[in-house]
Amino acid sequence: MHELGLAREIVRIVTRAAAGARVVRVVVRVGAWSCVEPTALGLCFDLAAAGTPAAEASLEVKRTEAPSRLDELVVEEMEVV
Amino acid sequence: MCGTCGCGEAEPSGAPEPEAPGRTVRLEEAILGRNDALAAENRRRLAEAGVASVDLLGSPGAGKTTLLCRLIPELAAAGPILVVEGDQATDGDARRVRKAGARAIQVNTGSGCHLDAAMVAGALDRLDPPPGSLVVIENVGNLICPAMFDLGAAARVVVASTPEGEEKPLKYPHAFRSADLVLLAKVDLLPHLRFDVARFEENVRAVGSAEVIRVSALDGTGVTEVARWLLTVGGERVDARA
Repeated sequence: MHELGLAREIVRIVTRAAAGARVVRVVVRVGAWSCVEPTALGLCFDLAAAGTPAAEASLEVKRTEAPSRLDELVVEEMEVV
Repeated sequence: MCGTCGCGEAEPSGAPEPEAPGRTVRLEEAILGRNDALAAENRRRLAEAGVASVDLLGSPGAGKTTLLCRLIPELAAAGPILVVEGDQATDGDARRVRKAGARAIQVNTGSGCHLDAAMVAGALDRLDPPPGSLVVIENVGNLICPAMFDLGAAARVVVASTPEGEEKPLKYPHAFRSADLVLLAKVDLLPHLRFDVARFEENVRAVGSAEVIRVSALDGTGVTEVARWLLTVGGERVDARA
């Protein structure tokens, strides 16, 4: 369940960048070789975000197949209100 | 049509107002960025101290610790061996490698399925490896999660054993792709198994470029060869002793 550790990092990244604003949407890019199961990541994100300004945020996982990006794991963008 | 259930009724009144659109913030930040930065720091620190290092990966029961215990006496002739033992629970493995002649500390990950660079940084603080030593980081028995987390070791060694079958490299390509050396362990069992060594080696080549060494902790096959490989890994160790 390395997804929980990754979800915690995602929450840390977005809440720091949001600087107190409420995060409503988070988009991450996950390379095809990155060993990440999108469903598990979504579940873990909800757990990790509970009690933070990202608690109500939806997580969108984009799977990338581009050969140069097969290993990538990136928080692409977020929406804050 | 009602947008809630498609029942054909008009949209129920009193539906919540759509939320005002938010502000989109572009981030492009690596999720493992913090781990990777810590791993780079571990790597720099080890290289500067003239310490060689390897990350040892494999399934539970592949024989990582048994092999390490067999390697330690051969390695110890060249300099101190320090071991970071990762397991979810117990300190049994640390006690085993201490008995074999290494200094060892156990890192228990609790519910965690892998070591990360921060755990290794903490372990290095405690071990304080001297110049010319070799640090072996034995990860939690798992071929999936540890493959993603760079720990900062100079090289990665993946152990697979003959009873696990020839298809392991194809089933867990991430671990084998990231390996610098693959050890095929428990080759003493080959007379009792239907295991095709050539096919295993083909499968390793299909996913990565690691060299394969056949080993047995029981009869000693390959042990000297692996020890020689480990002692030249990183180069820093060799330089420090020159």
